[in-house]
Amino acid sequence: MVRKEYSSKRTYPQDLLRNLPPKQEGKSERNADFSAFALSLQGASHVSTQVPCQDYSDIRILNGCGVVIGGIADGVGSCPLSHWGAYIAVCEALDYVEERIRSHEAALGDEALYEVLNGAFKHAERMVAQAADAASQAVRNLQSTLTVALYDGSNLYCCHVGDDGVVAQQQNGIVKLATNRLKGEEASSVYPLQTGRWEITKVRNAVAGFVMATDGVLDAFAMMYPDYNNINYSNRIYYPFMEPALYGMTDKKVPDAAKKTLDFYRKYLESPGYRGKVTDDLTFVAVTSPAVLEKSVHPEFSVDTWNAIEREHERKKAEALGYSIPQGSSVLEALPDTVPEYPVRERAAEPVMSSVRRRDGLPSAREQTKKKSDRKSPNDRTFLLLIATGILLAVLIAVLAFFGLRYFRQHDKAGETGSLNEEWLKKETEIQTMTDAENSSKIGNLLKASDSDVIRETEEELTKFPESK
Amino acid sequence: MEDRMPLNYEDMIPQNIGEKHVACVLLVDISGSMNGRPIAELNEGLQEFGRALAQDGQARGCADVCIISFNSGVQTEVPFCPASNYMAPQLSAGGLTCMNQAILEGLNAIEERKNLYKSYGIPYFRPWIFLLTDGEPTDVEHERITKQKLLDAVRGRKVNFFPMGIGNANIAKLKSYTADGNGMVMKASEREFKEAFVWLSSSISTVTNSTGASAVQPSQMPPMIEIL
Repeated sequence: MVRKEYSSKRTYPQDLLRNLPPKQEGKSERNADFSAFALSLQGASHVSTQVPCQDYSDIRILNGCGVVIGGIADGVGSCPLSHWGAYIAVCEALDYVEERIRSHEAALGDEALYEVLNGAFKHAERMVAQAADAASQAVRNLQSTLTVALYDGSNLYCCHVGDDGVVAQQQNGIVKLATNRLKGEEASSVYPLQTGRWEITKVRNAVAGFVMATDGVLDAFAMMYPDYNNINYSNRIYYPFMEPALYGMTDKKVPDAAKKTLDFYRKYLESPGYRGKVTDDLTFVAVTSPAVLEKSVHPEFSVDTWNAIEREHERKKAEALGYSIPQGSSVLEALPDTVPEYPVRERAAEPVMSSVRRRDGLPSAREQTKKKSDRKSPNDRTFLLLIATGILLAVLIAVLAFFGLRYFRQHDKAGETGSLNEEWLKKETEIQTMTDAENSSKIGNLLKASDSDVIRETEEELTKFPESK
Repeated sequence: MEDRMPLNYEDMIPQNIGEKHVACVLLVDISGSMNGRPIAELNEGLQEFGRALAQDGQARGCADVCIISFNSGVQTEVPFCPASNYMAPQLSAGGLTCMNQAILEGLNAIEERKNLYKSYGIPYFRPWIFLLTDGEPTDVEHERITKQKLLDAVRGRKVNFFPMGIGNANIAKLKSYTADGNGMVMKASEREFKEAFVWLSSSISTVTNSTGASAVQPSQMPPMIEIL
């Protein structure tokens, strides 16, 4: 089936320097199946330096398709037009995904969705480059991260590049990162969309809801450091941050629960307490299926346990780095004797269709090889069948040739052919006679003797025949 | 609706959001030619460096400093320590100029510090190497490998390199250690260069206080320091 080429329906101003993109000041949506909100706020550092918010986000419930999609992007700080890059990337990627799903060009299976998400990122990258070109700007001036999530009430697919992230709450009560933090070695480095290094992941277990955040928010509740003392508590996710975002939207008595939850988070992220700790731009998206969430296992989390583990971590870290800890500091409090084990220990996302991608978004050679070896394609089966058939035919031809040659040589040899044939025929007759008259053990013995005789004679013939010439 | 929301914001995020560290190595020439006024200026500069860092709360907790001196050998005067624990050494001059070996030692020290950061999951900014010399290296047998490793680290964005020549330093030789052989080299008089250490600590403070929301730039250079 030939897919119609997708073309963008959006236009962008030619003078990107003098114009600003629309802001995402807060959007909430709700239908019978889903509830979601998106929010992007200018960070305190950008307010003081009068730099526009370089984050953008959006959510869309695709009514009639049973799917909700969300997108977030964080413009690279050092790029002067990255607010446009983030806006264009999110809009174009979501437009693409929406169009492909609504057109029912493919069933919503893993393979089809991989193609849709991959295509969305390629399209978004292309559109950012076109907008830069039209504005006579270098593409690097519009660099941003990009994360898109697609959720059908159970399955969660993510396509992602950069240091943003998606945190999923599974129906079994496990909370975990659904994406990997794609960034360089240093704190301030990140892989933008333009590196082509996006990953596509799918959460293995059924999902009840998820949140998406740029690093300004994600770093606050999704810790980056590894397990400590083999204690992986809550997969390093500080659950109290995201809990209200999902459960706040499940209140059936409140028709605009999604909007109220959005307002709650806006107020929180604008509070002096939060802004005193985080001055970066802030983006937070939350999506849930309220009916599914209500029936799912509620994640377990204890703030006291978290704090105790953190204190121990801080103490060990300070010792290793040579920092002194003031006497009486809470960091010096001992770890409790027992730390409750987290129900199931799960690592961060393992890309399902992923790893380093070529710049054009096509799978790398390694992925193509892996895909081929993993898939049992009809062509592979046919090829194996042909090989097997060829081998069988070769064996059959060899056997026929062997007996044919023996027969031919028996008939061709002057003076001996007749006697050999007679002997051979006699033996054959004996076999047949014996078969008719004797029991199976005698028949077996006779056949074995006949076989030995036949083989020996044939060998002698082959040796002698050339000499006689 | 309200009973699903926390009553206050205090418990919504952890108490300690991870801070980002920056490792800084100072490679300082204490060869014989530094005798007299230059070594005194150097010692004062190292003290100013510590004082300036101590005044910035964020830098005190997030900047990690190491001082390596070089003459006929290479000495780690101050192994990596938090800026809050930094005590300026008192250095004396004498001997040759094993600058190449000092650079190699500095690169090793930075790698070890980064490995420590990684093992504790501590995010970090690109480390800095600040080199101060009044001459040129005498350990020429190490020059090729040193330049190779240093340029690999700079081009691979593993480290920021700030060389500074004072007095009769061979500026052209110093430039050959920078990217493309024509990178930035600072120059100052051998009698007045301690301000460079104030600049250095100010730049480190800028880094530790950055949010990552915009590019981090070093502080403005004091007037007695020339950029070549």
